[in-house]
Amino acid sequence: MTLSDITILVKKIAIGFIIFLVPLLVIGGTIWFIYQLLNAHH
Amino acid sequence: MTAPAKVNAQIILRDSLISLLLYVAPIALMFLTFYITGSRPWLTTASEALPFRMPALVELVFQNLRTWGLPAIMVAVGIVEFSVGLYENKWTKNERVLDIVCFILPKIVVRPLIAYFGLKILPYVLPGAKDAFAWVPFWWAFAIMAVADDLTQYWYHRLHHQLPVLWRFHRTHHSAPYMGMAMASRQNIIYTVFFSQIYLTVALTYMGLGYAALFVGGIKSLITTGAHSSIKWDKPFYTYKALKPIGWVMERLISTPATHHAHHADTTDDGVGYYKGNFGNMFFIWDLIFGTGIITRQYPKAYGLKHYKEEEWYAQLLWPIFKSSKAGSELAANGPVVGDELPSVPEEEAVEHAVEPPPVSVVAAQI
Repeated sequence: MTLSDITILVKKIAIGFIIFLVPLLVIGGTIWFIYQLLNAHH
Repeated sequence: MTAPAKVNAQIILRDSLISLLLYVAPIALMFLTFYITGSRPWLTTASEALPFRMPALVELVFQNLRTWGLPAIMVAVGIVEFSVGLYENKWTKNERVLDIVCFILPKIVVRPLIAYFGLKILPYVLPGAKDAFAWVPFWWAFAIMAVADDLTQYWYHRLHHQLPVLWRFHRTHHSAPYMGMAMASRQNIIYTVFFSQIYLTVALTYMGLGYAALFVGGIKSLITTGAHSSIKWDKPFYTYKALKPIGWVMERLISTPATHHAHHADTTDDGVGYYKGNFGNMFFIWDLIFGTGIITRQYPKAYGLKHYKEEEWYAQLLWPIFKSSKAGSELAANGPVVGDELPSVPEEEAVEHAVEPPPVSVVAAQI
């Protein structure tokens, strides 16, 4: 493995992490936020 | 950044913003329904039972799909494909070893990683989130999980085609000069280990959407397995008049052999193959929404990569840890990236191409 290979690997893992994290935050955040909103209302 | 790459980046950015709305859509619909009906499911204890009964045999297969269920189905379909000669003489020793190792290895490597992520990392990172969404009714959880899992895999897959830096991690899946069960799980191990949607599903399972995740996983496995099969089971839906309305809906909703085989074609120049699109795994509808698909109801004449050099199975499995010794291979040390790089077209032409209507609207409208 060369330095270039490690760079490609790091980029690959970073992109994969973003593809995982963004939907997790959006889905988890939306459910949590609206749930709090409805509960505060009642 | 070259002009075509810039246009491509803008399209990716636009589509990813649309995706955020798609992730939120089932959640917004769920709360809207609660608001209209006055329902408050979080005030009642969550039931761990499924809200319906399945026949015992179906339930058994679903419960064990991740262990022996799916491999048993894949092996059975593979035997049928092989016995009717669907692999012709293309399943060489090198391809055979690669397909079999790719079938077995993830089950040994990926499962412990997922277990570690679910049992050790998540409780440490999100200590208060365990079962936080367990109150979500089953069918709403099913909708949320189906979109979460499959849209995430769509993006993971699409970016491995559209970002040159990622292509070689996905190349192994496209190098097979045939379609069938034998190549359905054929991937570079690094592609498989870092599958984003697996970790998303585990995280949402930790948060309480596990039953629905199990169900989505089962249905998705069956659809993607069927889409990779060399048995053209969807053909009757395009041939018999009574089945055509079902076929019309089906080919737009889920991946079928026709649409997914097109993705594995060795060319996009014949109007049938389209390896630069048809990225959907369980749902094809993402390709319709983002304009990355074509529907032709035809099957490509040839599969694989025009520039395939029959690289050693270990190089295809473990690149960049192991390299190929084949001269000019993308997987060789200092090899060129030939695969799904952006076409080198003049700037004006590239911009014109980018604002063209999605190909699916042209082709599908004729059907």
